[in-house]
Amino acid sequence: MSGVFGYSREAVRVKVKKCEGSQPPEMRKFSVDPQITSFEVLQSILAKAFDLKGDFAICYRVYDISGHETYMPLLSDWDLDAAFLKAYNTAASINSEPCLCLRVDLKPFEECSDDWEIRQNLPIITQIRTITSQEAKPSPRLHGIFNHPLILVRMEVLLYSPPRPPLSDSEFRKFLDPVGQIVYAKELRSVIYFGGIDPSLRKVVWKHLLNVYPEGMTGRERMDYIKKKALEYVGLRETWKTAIAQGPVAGELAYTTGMVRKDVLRTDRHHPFYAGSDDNQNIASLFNILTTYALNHPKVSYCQGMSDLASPLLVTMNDEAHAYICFCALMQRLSTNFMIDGIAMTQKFTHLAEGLMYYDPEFYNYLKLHQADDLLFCYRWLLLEMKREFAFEDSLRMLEVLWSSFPLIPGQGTETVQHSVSASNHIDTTYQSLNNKFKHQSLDDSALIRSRNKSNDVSPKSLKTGGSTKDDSSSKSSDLLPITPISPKSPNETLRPRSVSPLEQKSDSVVFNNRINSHQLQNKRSSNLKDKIATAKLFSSLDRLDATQSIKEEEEKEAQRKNEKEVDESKLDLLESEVKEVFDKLRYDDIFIWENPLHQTSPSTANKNIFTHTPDEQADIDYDTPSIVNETSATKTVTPIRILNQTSKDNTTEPNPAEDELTQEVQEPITALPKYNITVNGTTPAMTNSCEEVTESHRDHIISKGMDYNEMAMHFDKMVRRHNVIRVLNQARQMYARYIKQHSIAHQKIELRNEDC
Amino acid sequence: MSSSRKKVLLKVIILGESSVGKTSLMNQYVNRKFSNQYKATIGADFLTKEVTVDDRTVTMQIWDTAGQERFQSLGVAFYRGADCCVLVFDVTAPNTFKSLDSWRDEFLIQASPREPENFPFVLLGNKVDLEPRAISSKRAQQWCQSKNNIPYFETSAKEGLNVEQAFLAIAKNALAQQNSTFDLYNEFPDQIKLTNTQKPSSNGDSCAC
Repeated sequence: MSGVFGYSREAVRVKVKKCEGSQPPEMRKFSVDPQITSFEVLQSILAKAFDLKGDFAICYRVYDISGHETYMPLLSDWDLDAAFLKAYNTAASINSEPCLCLRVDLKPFEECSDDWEIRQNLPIITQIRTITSQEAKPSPRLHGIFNHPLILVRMEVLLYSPPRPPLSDSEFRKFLDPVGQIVYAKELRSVIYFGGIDPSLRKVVWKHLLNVYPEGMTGRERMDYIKKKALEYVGLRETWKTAIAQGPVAGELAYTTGMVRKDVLRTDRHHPFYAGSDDNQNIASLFNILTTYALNHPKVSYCQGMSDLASPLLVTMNDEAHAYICFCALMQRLSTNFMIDGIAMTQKFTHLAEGLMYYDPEFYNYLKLHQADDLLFCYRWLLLEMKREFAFEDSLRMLEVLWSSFPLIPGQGTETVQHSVSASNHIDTTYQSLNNKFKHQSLDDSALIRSRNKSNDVSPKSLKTGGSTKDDSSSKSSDLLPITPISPKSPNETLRPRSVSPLEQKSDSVVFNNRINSHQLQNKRSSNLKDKIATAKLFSSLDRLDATQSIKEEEEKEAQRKNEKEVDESKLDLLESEVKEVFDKLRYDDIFIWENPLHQTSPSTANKNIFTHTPDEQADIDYDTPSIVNETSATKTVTPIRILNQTSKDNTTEPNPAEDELTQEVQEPITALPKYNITVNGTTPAMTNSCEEVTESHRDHIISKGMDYNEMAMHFDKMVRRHNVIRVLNQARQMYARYIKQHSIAHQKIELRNEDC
Repeated sequence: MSSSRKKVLLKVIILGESSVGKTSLMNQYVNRKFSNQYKATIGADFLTKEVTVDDRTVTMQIWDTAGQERFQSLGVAFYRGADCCVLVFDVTAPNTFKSLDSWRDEFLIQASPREPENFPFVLLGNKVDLEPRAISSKRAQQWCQSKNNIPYFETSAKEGLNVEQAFLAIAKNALAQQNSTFDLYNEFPDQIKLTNTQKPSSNGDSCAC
């Protein structure tokens, strides 16, 4: 865009004077390429050049008509463009090289919270950046607002209101047939995904979301079923209660009850449900649920964090047995997170990092620069599905929306109260003794043995058979348990996201995943393609990956017109139905049988992913050198963004030739797509996206303040329970939608390529 | 504000059984607040505080870890680069004292400091405001002596008793540790200097020839 104004495409010299209180000003000189230097980039250059940690203001020098020197504030990309233009014009008039003179004024460090309030009113800025970073890949320069007005307008309208109202009772009935069977399960999830559930309905609908029931039950059958399960629960609970009553407890029982007791006494105590004295009956219920679960799932046992997961279930169900059943269903998906081997969590971190790398490489690199790319400050977010990051009531909404984005697992329904022991192939012998002590009298031994055998032999083969049996619910659920991915390398590998190669894991799980899904895929592929083409058409006005700049601009205009129309009608329903349509098509047919397009094109990819562990230090050094702005040299153009992309490519994203080849053909965004393997690890992109959204929404703040690792972690800590759930969800949905869109386009290209071959 | 001078950052890890008061100690020290309602720490949290040790201002970064050993798989990431390790037990709960050995060993294995036998630990016996007491000072001190004279403090995070003093000792130990590590690193530039000084002399030789 700078070229439009007619100034040269050459580098522009920049002279900066830093003023801080009464201290003597410091000077720096460097050059930038106006084509690729956005305001944000300039800010980060300045922060680096002067080693600024706090906030600072930038002004640029101009001469007024009388030739008087004044400083104009430089606050945005527009200002920066104007500043470049001024520099160029001045240079032309006196026939010299263009030179931009800046002044940096330090502001005192302010409390983050104030800024947050302001930020809430200015979400657009985040949005501009997010969009540009993805769509304007060929020229990462932030061109300002007018390139993407449609999204912005849409954003403004939607940011603080959910795309649709929560699921209401009358609406819920529409998804049922006269006998109470859920006939439109997918659609039901879709509705919840967009609007959540009316609080009064949660007690009923959460059970569906958590796959508590086997498929196809009528209302009456469900009632019988839950009654039966509740009785089973009471039996299980009485077993250990008797053991406690009989005499002094020791060993595992004592250990477990001790751990659980400590934690239930400090779980959500600010909530009226658990408030008051420690004798609160609800605390006792929470204790019972967790203890029963731990003793009957010895491989998982109890781990801190579980009380946070069980607590909202108990509050919502307001019934101990029902909450227990829901908790078991939830743990079906989440138990691996609590495994001592850390494999599942490592994988989640990998996905989060990949997602961030894809959505916002610049921020990712910022994190990397500050050695925060291990993202460990997100640990609790991932482990507890963001439950603690929001106010309690908001977290319920967050959870149900997340859950609705998970696949329906037909047949999983009969989550066994008794023995989903097969959570992991990680065998912890200490729990076996407990198992012997407390289980045998109460549990179905054969089922236990069966599931044990399975847990020792978690092979893709055994997973494939999932869903075929009808009655034997326990074996079914163990079969279907997508819990243990083929362990990457050694099971002892500890959680070290930075040094464990993401690709290694990815490749394993991809293979795994593809095996599970291969048969489904073959059936669905042809029909999917149609859907995808339709979807791609729908989105094509927004984004075409290989479009040239001019075509792109045209399309954007077209899309703008389209969107203006939408906004005129101003009915959220419209957008909702449109998006919903897309989602209905995509979310279930496409995403949930996700496969790695890269893998598909080159089946050997996975095997090639022998990625050498890069020592952390090395990676950091590699990164540091190009990105640090040399304050004195500055004859050569500084191209921060390009360098950043370059490094991210070198270091992380594309270490294998097959992928590189693909990159050239379909351009970066596709290759950079995070490869989520939903069935394997139980994270959906939506989940990861909410985390990303939360990090993302603070990225400008973090970057502008030049926060280091400590400040970042503490910043997010301060934000606990203060995130706006609607906003976060809306943006996460958008990211998810974009992810799906990109994926479908990528997928389509690959299909087409395959056909060509 | 001298931005040019490199700030000293001391990384301190607090370890110990669940609910011995790690979070409370950290918050008492940094924020001078106590709450009965801290939640179980998941993963790790940390706070920082500026302290003056021997006329030197340093930033202490205090890592509060989860007490359940299940989270120890995170250890490597969290323990790396620690300058001091604070072990905490509850003077009213004997099992929290008994597990100190394993916490210490675990730390040494995971963090693998350069000189494990000289790595600074500090032991805090917390909750001295509570009765009945299960671990006497004598017993705790004996343990400390057996571990190369670890400094021992009896604290109450609730009443803020001894917390300030304990953390000052922690900071001092951490700083000493960091200085000793720096000395090790400083050998490296020295070697370069050596070659630098050799170079001109060899040049001089060649010129003379």
